[in-house]
Amino acid sequence: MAVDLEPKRLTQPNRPQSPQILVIGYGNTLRSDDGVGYRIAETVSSWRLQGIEGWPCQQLTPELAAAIAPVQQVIFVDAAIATSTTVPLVTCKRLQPDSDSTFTTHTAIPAALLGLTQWLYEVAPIAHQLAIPAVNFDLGETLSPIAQVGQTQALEQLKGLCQNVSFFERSCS
Amino acid sequence: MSKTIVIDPVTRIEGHAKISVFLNEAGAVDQAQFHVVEYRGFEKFCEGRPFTEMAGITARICGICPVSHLICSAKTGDKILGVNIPIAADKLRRLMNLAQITQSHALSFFHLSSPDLLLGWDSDPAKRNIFGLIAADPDLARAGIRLRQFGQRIIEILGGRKIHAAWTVPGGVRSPLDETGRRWIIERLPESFNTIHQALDIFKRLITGPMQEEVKVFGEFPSLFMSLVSPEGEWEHYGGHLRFTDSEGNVVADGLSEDHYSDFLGEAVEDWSYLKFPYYKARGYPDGIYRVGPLARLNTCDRIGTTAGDQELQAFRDYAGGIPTSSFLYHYARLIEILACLEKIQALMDDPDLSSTRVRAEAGVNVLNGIGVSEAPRGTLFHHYQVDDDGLIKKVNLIIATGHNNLAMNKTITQIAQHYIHGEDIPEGFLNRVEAGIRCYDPCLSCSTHAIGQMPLHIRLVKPDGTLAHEIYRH
Repeated sequence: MAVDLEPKRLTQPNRPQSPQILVIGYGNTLRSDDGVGYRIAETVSSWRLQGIEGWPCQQLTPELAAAIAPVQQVIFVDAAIATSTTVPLVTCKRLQPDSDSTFTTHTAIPAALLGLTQWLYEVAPIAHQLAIPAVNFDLGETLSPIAQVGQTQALEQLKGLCQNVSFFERSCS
Repeated sequence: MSKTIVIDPVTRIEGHAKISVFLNEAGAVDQAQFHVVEYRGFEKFCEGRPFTEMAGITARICGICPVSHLICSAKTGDKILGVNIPIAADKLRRLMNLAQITQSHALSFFHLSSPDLLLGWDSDPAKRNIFGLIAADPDLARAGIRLRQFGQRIIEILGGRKIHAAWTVPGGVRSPLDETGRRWIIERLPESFNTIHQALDIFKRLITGPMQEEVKVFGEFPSLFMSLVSPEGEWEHYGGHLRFTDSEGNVVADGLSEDHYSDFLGEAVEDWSYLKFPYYKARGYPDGIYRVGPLARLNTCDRIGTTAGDQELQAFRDYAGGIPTSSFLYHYARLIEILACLEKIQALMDDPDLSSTRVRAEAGVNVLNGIGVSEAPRGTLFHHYQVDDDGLIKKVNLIIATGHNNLAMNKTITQIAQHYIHGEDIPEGFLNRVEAGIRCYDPCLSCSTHAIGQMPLHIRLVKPDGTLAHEIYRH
C-alpha cells in the first residue's frame, strides 16, 4: 500500500485549562530506581502550583500527545543507568521531535512522543529530558542513595523552573 | 548444516523476549522457540504483605493493563473476606473492565499492529510505525488515539486516575459513577462507535484482500479455547464460569470454577524460558494446548448478548466457515470485542445502580485461601492468595493471559518460520512476520523496568558448534 508522505494536519486539541509546564515522570515504582521519574512527577503534582502540572505514569503512551500539544513546555523525567563510579549528576538535555523512532509502549522515547505530537497537532512544545542516575532496577519500592540524590537535585531544578524559566534553560544547556 | 536464528528482542510487544528458529541439516525450519528472558518474581515480592494491598501492588506490574490485576485481585479479596459484593459494585467493576478492554485493544490494534497491517510487511522498517500510519491515514491514527483515550478517561472518571487506580477494593469499590462522568461517557460514545465500525470495515477488507495468506499462516491450527462465559453461555469478562471448547465448536468442559483451577490446568516448565506452559490437564502436555483472549472468548461463547456484537460475531463465524482458528484473527476478534464493550457501556449508562452509594461490603478475614478470576484484554487471569489469620500473604500464584497462550505462540512462530524460511536467506519481511505473529496475541511479558534507552532488534545466526555465523542489529 502506497504511503502519502505529506500528512494531512490535524486540529490542535482545545484545552483552555492546560498548564504552561507539564512534568511527565515515568517508570515502574515496583522496580526500585526505575520509579524515580514517577515519584518526581508525583511530588510536582503535590505542589499544586499554578502553571505547572506533574503527570506520573508508568509508560509513555500515544494519547499523551493530546496532553502535550497545548502546553508551552514539557519536561520528561526518567531513570537512566548510572555509568560512572563517581556520584553521577542529573543530566538535562533539550529534545527535538523525532518522527523516525518506532513508537511503541515499552520502548517509546520522549522525542518520539514529541514527534507524534508534532505530526498530529502541528505543534510541539519546548521539551527537555531530565535523566536521573539509577543503579538498582530489582523488585523493590525504595530508591538507592544515588537515585535519592538525583531526585532531590531534579526537584530543585524543577522548583527553579517554576520561579524562572530562563534559569532552568541555562541549567540545561 | 543446521543453524539457529535468534531474534532478540521482539519489538512492539509488552516486555522483553527473543525468538530462536532452529534449522535442520536440509535448511528447513525444524522448530521455533519464543523465549521470555526476564524473571518477574512478583509472587515472592508479595509475600508478607496484607492481602488488601495486593490490588495496588499487582496493578503496578503493568502500566497498560493495571485494571485487570485490580479487578482480579479485588475478586480474590472478596473470597478472603467471604462476602458477596453489592450489585452496584459488581456493575461498576464491570464498567471499568469494559473500559480497560476497550483502551487496551485500541492500543494493540491502532498503534502496535496497524503499521504492519496497513503499510505492509515489506515497507521501509523506518516508516512502518505509528508515524507511517499517520502519514498514510492521519484521521484513523487520531481516531485510534481518541478511542484509547475514551477507555482511559472512563477508568480515570471511576478511579480518580488513569493507572493504578486503587478504587477497586476487596468487598466492592470506593465510589459510584457521578453524573458528570456519566454525561461525558454518553457524549463520547457515538464517536467511539464510529471509529470501531471504520476499523472493522478496514480489517474485513484486509482479510478478504491482501492479508488472506496471513490468515492461513499466522497460527492457523486446531486447539482448545478457554474463557469465562455467563451462566447463559454469553460472552463474559468478569463473572460466570470457565468453559473449554474445541476447534469444531464442541464444548469440552463447562461450568468450571476458578476455585479448582489446579484440577484442570497444569503448568509445564521448559529450561529455555521463564514463562510457564499451562495446558489442559485432561489432554496432557503439550496436547492440552489451548488459547485464551479475544479469539477464545468469541469461540467459547454461544452469543455476545448485544445487537451489533452478535451481528459481527455471526459475520466472524461466517467468514471462517465455522469456528475461526487462525491466530491472525485475534485482531478481528479484538475489534468485535471493542464494539461489544461499547454496547455494554452504553447499556450501563441507563442503569440507576451505578449511582448507588452502597458499593462496598465490609468484613474481616474469614477465609484463608482465595482464588479470583477475570478476563483481562489478553485473556483469562487468575490470582490465588493464601493468607494467615491477620490477612498477611503467605503464598501467591498469578496465572496471566500471556502464559496461557505460551504453547500457542510457540506453535504460531514455528508455522510462520516453516512457511517463509527456505534456506539461509532471511529477508526483512520475514522478521516482521514472525514478530507480527507474536503480536497477534498482544503479549504482556514483564512490564517492568523502563530506563532511558531504545530496544534494539538483535538477530543472531549460530552454527551447530556454537560459533556465530551472522549477526544483525536493527535499532
